[in-house]
Amino acid sequence: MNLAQQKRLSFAALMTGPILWWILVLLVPYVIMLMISFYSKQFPFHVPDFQFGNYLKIFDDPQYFQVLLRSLKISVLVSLVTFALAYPLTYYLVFKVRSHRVRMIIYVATIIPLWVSYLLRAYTWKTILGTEGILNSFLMWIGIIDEPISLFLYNQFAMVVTMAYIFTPYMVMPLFASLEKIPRNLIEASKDLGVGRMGTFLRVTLPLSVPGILAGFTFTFCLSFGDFISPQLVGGPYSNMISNVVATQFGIAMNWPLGSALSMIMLFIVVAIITMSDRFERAGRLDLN
Amino acid sequence: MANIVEIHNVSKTFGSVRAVEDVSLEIEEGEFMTILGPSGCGKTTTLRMIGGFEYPDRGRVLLGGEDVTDLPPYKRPVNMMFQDFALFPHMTVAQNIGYGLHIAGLSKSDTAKQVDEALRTIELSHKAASRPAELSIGQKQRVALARALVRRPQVLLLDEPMSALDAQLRGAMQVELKHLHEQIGLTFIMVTHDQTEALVMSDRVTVMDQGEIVQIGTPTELYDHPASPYVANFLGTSNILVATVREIISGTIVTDYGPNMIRAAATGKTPAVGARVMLSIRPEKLRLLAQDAIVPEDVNRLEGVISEQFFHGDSVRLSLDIGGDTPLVIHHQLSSSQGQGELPPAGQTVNIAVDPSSVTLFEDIADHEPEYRA
Repeated sequence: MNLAQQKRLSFAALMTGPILWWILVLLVPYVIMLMISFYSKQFPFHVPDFQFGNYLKIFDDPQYFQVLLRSLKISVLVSLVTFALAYPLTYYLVFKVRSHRVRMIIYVATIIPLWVSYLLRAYTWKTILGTEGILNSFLMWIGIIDEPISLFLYNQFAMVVTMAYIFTPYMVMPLFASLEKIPRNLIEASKDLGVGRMGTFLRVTLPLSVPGILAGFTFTFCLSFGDFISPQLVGGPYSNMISNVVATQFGIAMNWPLGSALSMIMLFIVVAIITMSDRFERAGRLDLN
Repeated sequence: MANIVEIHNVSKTFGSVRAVEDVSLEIEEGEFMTILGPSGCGKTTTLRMIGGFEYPDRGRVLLGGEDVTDLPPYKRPVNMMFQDFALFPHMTVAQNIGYGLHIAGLSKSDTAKQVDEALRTIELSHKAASRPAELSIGQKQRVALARALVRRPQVLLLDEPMSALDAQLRGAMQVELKHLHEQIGLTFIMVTHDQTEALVMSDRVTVMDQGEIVQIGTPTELYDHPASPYVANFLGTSNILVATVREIISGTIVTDYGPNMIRAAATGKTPAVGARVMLSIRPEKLRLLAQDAIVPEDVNRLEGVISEQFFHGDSVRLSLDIGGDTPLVIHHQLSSSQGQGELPPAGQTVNIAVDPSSVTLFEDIADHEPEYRA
């Protein structure tokens, strides 16, 4: 066996594991899901078939279509709120905090909730926003309200707040990376050429952080779009998201074909968004060095 | 001529690092001033304080007689060419050049006209719509230069303008920048660590070391009359010898270096007899003598053994043991009549000559000796 053959063999040996994993855990389930999405529902389970009834039902039945729209709306809201919180914070961290250590401490403090169970973090907001919660107690203490109000919990507002809190790190991370990559001398060059702070931000810093903004929006949008814990914990009756419906179809309703079709549509939307953001990113990809 | 830039007793500390310490500098209108020094000597900080990118802890910065210490960079009539050019990667070449014009209140058509003109001057009209990433380094540099000049600043600041270029392009750009300076008559302030660059391009050079100015002068003054062994060694190379003063005879200081006697022309203060002093002799001021050559009485004649030869193509550097602590390096120019083969081989005893006026004597040996002992 010569060196080239040896190299090829060891490469094949190395790749077998990942490829098998990828096939078994990703490709096969997706194919199965795609197939089931064309099956028909037949009591008590389903039968193999090839028909588009499940997909048609999603767009026909306002019950499903409304949920789809609501999910999109909530995801966009969460992304916007997250962005509004994360951009100033990250900007401050990257450009205003002088000490590298302080910057890293604040950054890690922002990221660290990711190591805490998602469920726990979502649950925390239940105790903050509830009638017995901290927010109500505080408002009563400073005298704005006389008795607890139930406005804060079990609605879409609570969902957006909870998800925005949970997904903020996913916005901060790409923003931090892209802002940190902007060479300082570009900002200095802008000022040198007579452009003030605001102009420099709008014409140099912001355009150059677009890749981070795109990545952040993609993360937060896709994560909230697929979320089904927050709706259950803090969402209340009119806050079902698409994932909740999918979970119901595979569970209580025992309608796997419809659940699969819904999942395929979700998958399609998420892949479309990732592809678009990737395209944008490529089109605007810049050599910052 | 009037001073366009004046720096008065400026100091700047970063954390515990003293970057610039009580620096004062006056730069005349139309002058090409170079601030020269090794990295960390404070030259870039000084330049950045003129540009407004650093705020001095103490001292004032004046531009055209006006105190601009408290003005942000975007309100100062200076422009900077940045070390790695700092072209905006998301804008075209034309947009880069026109960036500062639009803000200055120029109409769109006037901006376009000036940008066109600038592009023609740097011969890059065909690259107007290109992104900086598509340009060669030399082209990038021209765009950066055009972008800084198009705003017609009172002073152009250049931060290590050649550091990104390769050796060949560097030589060409040095000449080009010098010509440009002569043509437009603008004040240029350049920062560099490259002594050749400083010597070739500047009207005057400011040498800095450890946050302080060591010497200011024309390239010739600095080269021929360095104020300290540090300057002597930073600008070009120099033989630094520690010798002992034997006697002082009417304007000439006679010293002993090993078995040899070296005379130096007295320029400043005269040292005491018996004092230890430092002598600085440029390698090219030392002449290799033929065995039977006769030199005038007032020229130093030294004897030594060739220890090594280094071939440099057009010249040879000889290392010569003349009996002192440090070997002497001689720069010997080869010519059509004499190739390397005709030079005496290593191990041979030779005579060399040097004029006393080419021997610079430094008194304050204590300040500098440790640096050269190793």
